[in-house]
Amino acid sequence: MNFQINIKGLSKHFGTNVVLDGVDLQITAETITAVIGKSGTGKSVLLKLIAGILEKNSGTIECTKILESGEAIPISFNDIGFSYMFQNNALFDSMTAFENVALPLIEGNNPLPKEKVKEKVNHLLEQLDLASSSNRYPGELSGGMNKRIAFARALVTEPKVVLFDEPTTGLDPERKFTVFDMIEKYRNLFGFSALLVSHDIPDVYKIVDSVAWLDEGKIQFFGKPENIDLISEIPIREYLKTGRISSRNL
Amino acid sequence: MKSLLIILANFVRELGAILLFINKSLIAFWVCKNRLKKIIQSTLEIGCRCVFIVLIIGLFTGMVMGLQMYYTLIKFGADAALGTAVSLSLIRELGPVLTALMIVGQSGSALCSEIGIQRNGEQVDALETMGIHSIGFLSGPRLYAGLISFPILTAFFDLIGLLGGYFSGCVLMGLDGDIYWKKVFYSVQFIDVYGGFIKSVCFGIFTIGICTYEGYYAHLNSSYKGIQGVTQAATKAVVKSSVLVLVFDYLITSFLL
Repeated sequence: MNFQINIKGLSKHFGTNVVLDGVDLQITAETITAVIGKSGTGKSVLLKLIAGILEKNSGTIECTKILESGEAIPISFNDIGFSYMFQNNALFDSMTAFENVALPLIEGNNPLPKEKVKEKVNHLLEQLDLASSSNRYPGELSGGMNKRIAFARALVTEPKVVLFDEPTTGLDPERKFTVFDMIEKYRNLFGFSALLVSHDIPDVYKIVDSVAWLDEGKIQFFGKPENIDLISEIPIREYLKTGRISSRNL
Repeated sequence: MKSLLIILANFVRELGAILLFINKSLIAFWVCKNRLKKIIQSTLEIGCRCVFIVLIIGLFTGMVMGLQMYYTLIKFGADAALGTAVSLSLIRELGPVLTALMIVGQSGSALCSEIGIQRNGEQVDALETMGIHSIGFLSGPRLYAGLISFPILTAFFDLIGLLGGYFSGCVLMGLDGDIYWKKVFYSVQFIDVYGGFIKSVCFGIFTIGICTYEGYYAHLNSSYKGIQGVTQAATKAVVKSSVLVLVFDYLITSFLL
């Protein structure tokens, strides 16, 4: 499905603390966009607003489905089909890996018959090398395995948009690249769009199609990673290239 | 005077919010899938967790009542009325109230903490992103389970309490057992059992509703965050539920009498 998500003037404040102040962003089908920025700039809030977990104060999130004829039809974000991978995985401790992954298929909006659920979940767990751990609880598994379970749960409904909230937090460099590879591999396999909040600059650039730099409540840069070199302001260019804030910028 | 009004206004606002939450939970539950399985699971969770403690408390409450009533009634030469006194006090008042307080202490606090931890761990948000109505999914089955398990556990409490009264009054103090049971059967009317049943159903809805409400909104506590917020929510849930059990007990009794 070809679609476009247009975010315009999205704002959010908590009391007097303005976190987002007119964010404009565009997401298109089958692309990976990384949202980067310093801690506390509202990257996760942006994702939660898009997912509807938090309520926006102002702004619009418009979704359009683009037909083969080129005609654009407005649809809701839920109709596109999305899933969310939380920073801390948000797995249910009292459920096994299998039950966690199967949950959206059993309890979600479009429940499937038992046999179909079993088949689908087992297939996905196999693809993610989790087949032997399907009957184990999240507390019995490593951090990396829990990440993969959360990833499987996010993909099991075959969403068109996946929102990743810092999917590599707390992982060692090797596992970090495994998660990035996984996102890229399954994007190619399932054809979803990904909006990815990450601190892993510049590693994340290897898999993304575009980068959105969020600062002071606004998207200050949006473009391909290779276009970062074209930024004239040296401290910003330096930060976006290395993830380090130079002393001049402090 | 002004602060008293503020406290009253906050109480009414809180009560209204809890009632709306209960209403939402009961309705939203019907959107969820596998409803029967969830109700059975929750009923077992609440019921099985409490059955032992309810039986123990029921037995000893009945025994104490049998003993106290025996010594009081014998002063007036009315020891034959022991069965009446024990059965009516248990079925009308002590059964529903003490059972509710036991369940709140045993299951309510655990329920509140469980939902509070899920809230902190973003599992509640995860449910929403999966298209699952979190209130219906987490609170709904527990409320229906409360409706089922409270009257059943109250009945257990009443029965074992009557046995306790028989044990202390008849076996230990030597009152005629036939007279005890005859008095129990003749004095307990349908309205007494009905009143106890109504109370236990109301307590079930309100206490479980308060516990799930406090757990669900544990993250909104402005003074305590994280795990402290959860423990604070569990404490608040138990205190509020216990107070409301006694308040509602008085209100329902005044309507029934």
